[in-house]
Amino acid sequence: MSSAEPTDLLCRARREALSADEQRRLDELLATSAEARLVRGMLTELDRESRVRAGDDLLLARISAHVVAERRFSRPVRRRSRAPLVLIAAALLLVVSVASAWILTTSSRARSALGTPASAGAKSPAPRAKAPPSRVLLAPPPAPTTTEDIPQEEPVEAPVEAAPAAPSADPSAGQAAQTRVRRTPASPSVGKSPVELFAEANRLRREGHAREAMDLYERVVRESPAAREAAPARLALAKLLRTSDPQRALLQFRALAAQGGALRAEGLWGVAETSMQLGSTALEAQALSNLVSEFPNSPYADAARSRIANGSP
Amino acid sequence: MLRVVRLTSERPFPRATVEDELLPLAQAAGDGDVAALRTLLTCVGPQILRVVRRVVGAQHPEVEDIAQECAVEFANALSRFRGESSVSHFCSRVALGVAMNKRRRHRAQKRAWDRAEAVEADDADGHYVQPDQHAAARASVALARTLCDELPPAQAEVLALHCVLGYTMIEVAAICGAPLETMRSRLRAAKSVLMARARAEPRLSELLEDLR
Repeated sequence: MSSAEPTDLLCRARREALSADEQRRLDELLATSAEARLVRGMLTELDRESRVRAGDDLLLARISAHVVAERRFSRPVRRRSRAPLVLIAAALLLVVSVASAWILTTSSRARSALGTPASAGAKSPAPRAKAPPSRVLLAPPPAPTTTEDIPQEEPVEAPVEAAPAAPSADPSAGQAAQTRVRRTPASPSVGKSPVELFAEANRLRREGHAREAMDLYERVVRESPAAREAAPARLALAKLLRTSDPQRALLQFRALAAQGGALRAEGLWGVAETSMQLGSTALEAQALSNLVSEFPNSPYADAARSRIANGSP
Repeated sequence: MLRVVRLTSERPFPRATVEDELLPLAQAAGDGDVAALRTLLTCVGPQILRVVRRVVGAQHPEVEDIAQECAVEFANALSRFRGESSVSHFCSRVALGVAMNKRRRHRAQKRAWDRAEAVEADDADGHYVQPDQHAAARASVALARTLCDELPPAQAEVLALHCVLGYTMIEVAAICGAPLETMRSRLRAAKSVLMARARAEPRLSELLEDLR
């Protein structure tokens, strides 16, 4: 065995029974070689440090679920997301061009009507010919589902622009439209797609820049709530928020669970964990029972069952 | 001659392909089979966790994050896996690379990384006969981790595979896909630095002096 490294015996001795001759050689080696004793000390300590611990199965289940979810979301995104994005962009362009054409025609009609005294008396279109209708026209498309998606986690900001809202019977609808009009132009990420933002956020998270990653995840959730990246971004954001701001993390987990889909189990587990952290036992119990009933085969179900059985919530 | 060339090109690592039970799972997972990926992660997950704990320390606060990164990287790397080593060895190497990079990056950012390596009174589990032995063992582990950060990457990898993860040199050569003698010369170079540093470490002096 001249090709074997002397310390190979140490490695093998930890995994299998050595023959009598090998054991004798190992004893001799340990008695004569400082290097061998040093390596033995290292390996023994590392064995102790890397032993299996309580909770490892849950930890591994979480990791496995995360990797599988990430693969599920990341694979189709790159292949399929282009076509819908192009279609949406084309539809938006079409709407904008039709709206601007309509504005131009109405304003030119108004001007010509003002220029002719006969028609001036019949109608008074001057106030309607102003620019604001274009904003009102552009505001509705991304409307109702998006703001409902983000329940309360968004900080309430004072209106920035006094955009003239369309006359509406429902004051709350007007306010929502106003908020939408304000947010859309304020976002500086017009040039970046949610795919790029999400990838950038993941990179920052891996590099340890949690705050910057959170900002980007939040932008994905806020600006592209219908994108495929929105749910994983919300999940990542919630996980990052758990240590610094559990209240906001809980809101994000609840929103994730409310969305349903592949990440509902993750959302429910997050709700259970965070509400336990915050001492909200009723919410924790509800989340755990939902998890067990809806996802009996998920990696979290066993843990949820044992927590319910132990009366943890 | 032609027959020899053909055979070796078809089966460069016959042992790995014949004996590796995880290979079909790895191939299916690499092709996008989610169920296979889940099963594979269940099989190699404990190994990933073990590698991470050995490289960064079990008490490190980011063990879970790093293990998750290792698992993601392993899943991504499956499409590039050519069966040149066993899946288990491939997984260890990927996890080792991720964990060592993470350690180096944290070290470059001057984060408080080695706090967990200090000897704590409540950590004793009766394994060691004397506290000195425990302190010396922990000092040797800290030294190995520091060297893995500081040595050239090729030497650091061999040192980590042999002295931290406990692979024999034949296994190390198979994992790295390099000749055994190359690996042994890298290990020799790394061990000479290790011994020089160990002799300068007061907590290890007693261990080393006994043998002179």
